Amino acid sequence: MDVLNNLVFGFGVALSPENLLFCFLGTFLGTLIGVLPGLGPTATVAMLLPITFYLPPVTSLIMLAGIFYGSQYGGSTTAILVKLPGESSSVMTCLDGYEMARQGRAGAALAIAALASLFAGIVTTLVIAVAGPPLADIAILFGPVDYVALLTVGLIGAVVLAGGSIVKAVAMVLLGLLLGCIGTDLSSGEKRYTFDLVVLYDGLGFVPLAMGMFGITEIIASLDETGGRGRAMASIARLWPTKEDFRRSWPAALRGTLLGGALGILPGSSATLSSFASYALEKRISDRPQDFGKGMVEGVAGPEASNNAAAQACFIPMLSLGVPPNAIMALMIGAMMIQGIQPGPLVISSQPALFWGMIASMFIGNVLLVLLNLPLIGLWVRLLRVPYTILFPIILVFCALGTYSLNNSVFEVGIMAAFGVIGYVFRLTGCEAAPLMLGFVVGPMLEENLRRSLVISQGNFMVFVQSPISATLFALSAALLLLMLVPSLKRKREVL
Amino acid sequence: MSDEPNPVADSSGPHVSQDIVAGSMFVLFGVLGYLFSLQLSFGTAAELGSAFLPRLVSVLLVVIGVGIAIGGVVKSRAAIAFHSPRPLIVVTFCVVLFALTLETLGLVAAILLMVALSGLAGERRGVVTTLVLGVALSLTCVAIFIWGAQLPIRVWPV
Amino acid sequence: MAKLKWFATVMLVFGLTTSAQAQYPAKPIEMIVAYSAGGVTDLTARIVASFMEKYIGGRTKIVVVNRPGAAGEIGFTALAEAKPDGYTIGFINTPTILSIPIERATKFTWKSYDLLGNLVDDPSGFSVHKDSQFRTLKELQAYAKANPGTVTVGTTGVGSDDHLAMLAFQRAAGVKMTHVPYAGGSMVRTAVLGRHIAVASINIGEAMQYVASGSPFVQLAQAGAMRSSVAPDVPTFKELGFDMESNAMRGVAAPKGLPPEVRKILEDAVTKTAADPEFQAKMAATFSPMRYLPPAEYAVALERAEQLLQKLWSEEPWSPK
Repeated sequence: MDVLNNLVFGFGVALSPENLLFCFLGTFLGTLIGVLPGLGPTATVAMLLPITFYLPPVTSLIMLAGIFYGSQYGGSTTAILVKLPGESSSVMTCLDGYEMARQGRAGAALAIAALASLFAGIVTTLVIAVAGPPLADIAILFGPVDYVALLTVGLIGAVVLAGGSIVKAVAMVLLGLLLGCIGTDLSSGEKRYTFDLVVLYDGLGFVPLAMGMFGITEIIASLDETGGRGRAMASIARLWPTKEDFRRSWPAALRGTLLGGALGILPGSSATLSSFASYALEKRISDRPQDFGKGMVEGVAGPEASNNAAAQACFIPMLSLGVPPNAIMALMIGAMMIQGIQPGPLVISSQPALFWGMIASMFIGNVLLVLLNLPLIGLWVRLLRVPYTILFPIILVFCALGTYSLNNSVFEVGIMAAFGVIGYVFRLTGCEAAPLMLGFVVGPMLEENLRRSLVISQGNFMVFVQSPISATLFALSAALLLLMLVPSLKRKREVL
Repeated sequence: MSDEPNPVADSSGPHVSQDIVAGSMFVLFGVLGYLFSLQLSFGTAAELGSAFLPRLVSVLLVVIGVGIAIGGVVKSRAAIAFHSPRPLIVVTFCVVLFALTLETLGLVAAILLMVALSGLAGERRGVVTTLVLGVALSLTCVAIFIWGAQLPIRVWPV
Repeated sequence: MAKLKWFATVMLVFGLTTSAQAQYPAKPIEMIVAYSAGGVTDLTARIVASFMEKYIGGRTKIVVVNRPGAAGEIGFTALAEAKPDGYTIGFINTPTILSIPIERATKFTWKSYDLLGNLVDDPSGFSVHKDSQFRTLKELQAYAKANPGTVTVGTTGVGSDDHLAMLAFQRAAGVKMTHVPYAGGSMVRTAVLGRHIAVASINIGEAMQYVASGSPFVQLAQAGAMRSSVAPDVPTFKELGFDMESNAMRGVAAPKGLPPEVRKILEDAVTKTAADPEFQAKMAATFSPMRYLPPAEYAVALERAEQLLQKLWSEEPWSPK
């Protein structure tokens, strides 16, 4: 019972008044910035970095970690209330979460999102405690070839995201891939579709794209469909989820947790990707896929569990290999280095208080977050009673300012406006934004790894079946494809 | 997925097939994507060039786009439900104006302008409501983004 | 009434922060970093900012602003085009500050800035997995010569100092290797760790931090003129008989045309920061090899590096023209 002893030791560290306070501060701040679109955890952690010079290492890491996973909780709030993804990983929550809000079930959606996140947070933290380092060693075996296979499964699965026409969904995925090509090509250094605009050299940002195609498009559509009054929300009959909601949510949350945890430990994957994957999975295995996008609680529970699991899981490569899977983990490594700690294989034995203290703090932080978020639900839901003519300018300002604050770039605000228009036209024509966003996220990763695989193998396509991981995944995607081409036995999918 | 436009044609607008418009847009993007990838190198199997994926995707887009459009001509069902260009134009203009004014006139002016103009997109708001909303929103944003997050955003005109 | 008073106070605060230019600095100073938060330059900048605040004195506030994009071009341009009033300073990085203007028309060169002092000089270097078949650079050279194009070298992208180091080694050793670009140094390290590529071309600071953390990583060589302070035991390429140098310098600069008194204040702050033992300890802890150069010497170093790059560009361009 080594792990148990270590956890007890960790709780001893994490429960000191000072660490508890900073855990609370971190999670509180994380919730706050998670709610605000644009302003993300990376910017916040970067800003707070100098403060950590004056804190003990454990305390500062507990706080910074809290900001990160706290933002995953907060990100779902605006997604559910006004269809505005507060963080990129909550894009999928926009779909069914917002529909639930329109049906007067905003409270239920928010509560399920918080509880699913809690569940995922606790489970994933346990996994880190029990098997973090060995898992990290497995994760690095994932080579470019295997990523190609994994992402192919993802792309094929993307089509499942579609609610209406499959053909249009495929076209939207392709358009997403094309948009993902914009910018400097990593492999050759060539500029693609940049039209000599320096601001396009790094490609389009995910946030302006998502905010345009979800937030802005929704405002335009809502105003147009109601002759300027804005869509009314159904009145709220019940604030909390029903028993039925819980019954349907927990298996979804469990699957989301597994998926998010698995994708989260892979360096180069992301919470965003795992929430897409979870949504697609839930829809695929549901016995009423036609109701997804119309307020299915599984469509909230799965992705929310998944993004939180992925957020916690990416601590594994960071802590045990010293490899940061994203910018925020890089900042945490920076914070440790300034304090003279080198995250890596030795960190557990050389800094037990830091490692176990931080893990224990994640348990505490997740519970704090739910205690913090549940009472807020009543408050958030009241926000929906604000007349739309007042509400939509507020959303507009936060969209624009949030996008600007990412890179201090007015150009990105313009991009957001452009994709508001494009998203609206596509919506009018019955094409959905989610497959496009997935293509946009997956495309660059897929291309990069495909080209890398072929460079390393000197053009030998056989490498894709020689790796056991990749061979398995390709077999899986072939099966998926087959399932989709052969009309399902259980249900008939309407093809527009 | 959510918010499919009402498949029944709206009486106020002309009957325009969703599929024809969607298909044409995909074709347009595909053609543009192909044309602007022409100066890029296609590469070889061992070293795929930067044009490989864009061209492949562009061609597929054109093919699928044509397919969707033809489907729309043959058995057009759903029509576009579009009432008034006003929300589209006003909302877009609001955001663009915000982008143009933020770094010159500052945050407060940009927010006030946005709030004032946004009134044109929907039902009218009273002058007092607009003013209160603008001031309150400016204060909130300054509190969050300037005092709280300490972002280097210009607050007032130069 | 109470509300009105409060509002008036708020307005007053705004007024104070925007007017009053009498004594520098009368408002927060922005420090532009041309890379995203979480990168090495960002980390250095945040440490430097906190020390420069101390040495400029008073209630000086320095805010780090990330303007990432286009390998640094967006941030460098923003810095070059800012008003030279001392309220915008920033980091400039070699080789990109030199190589981008060589590659394409830009709105800046290194001469668009008032240099305030260089702080970091991080040599490039080659690392391999502990169990790699290559134990020395000579072994790597011999194998690459016998098997052209089979040794895979991971770098942080086309035109990065890591890529330039790889090109320089190919020329110096008379070999041909395969370039595998990644989007960041951590991805290169992961790829070597998982044995997906043979060699990591990464800066010595990053590599040594990785070694110190217990990762199975071995340094073959470093590409500075001399051995870096963070890696005294790793030989240089020159010592091993390969005539090449490649490094990443990170220093502080401001848009050209600072008022002399402001310039003096800022230069002094950088000098004092560099000399501060506490600062040096933080730089050592973050494996950022220090090399303070006052503005005049900094300019000489940049001039020399620029000439070398121009020569390389005319002989073997590192990116499509």
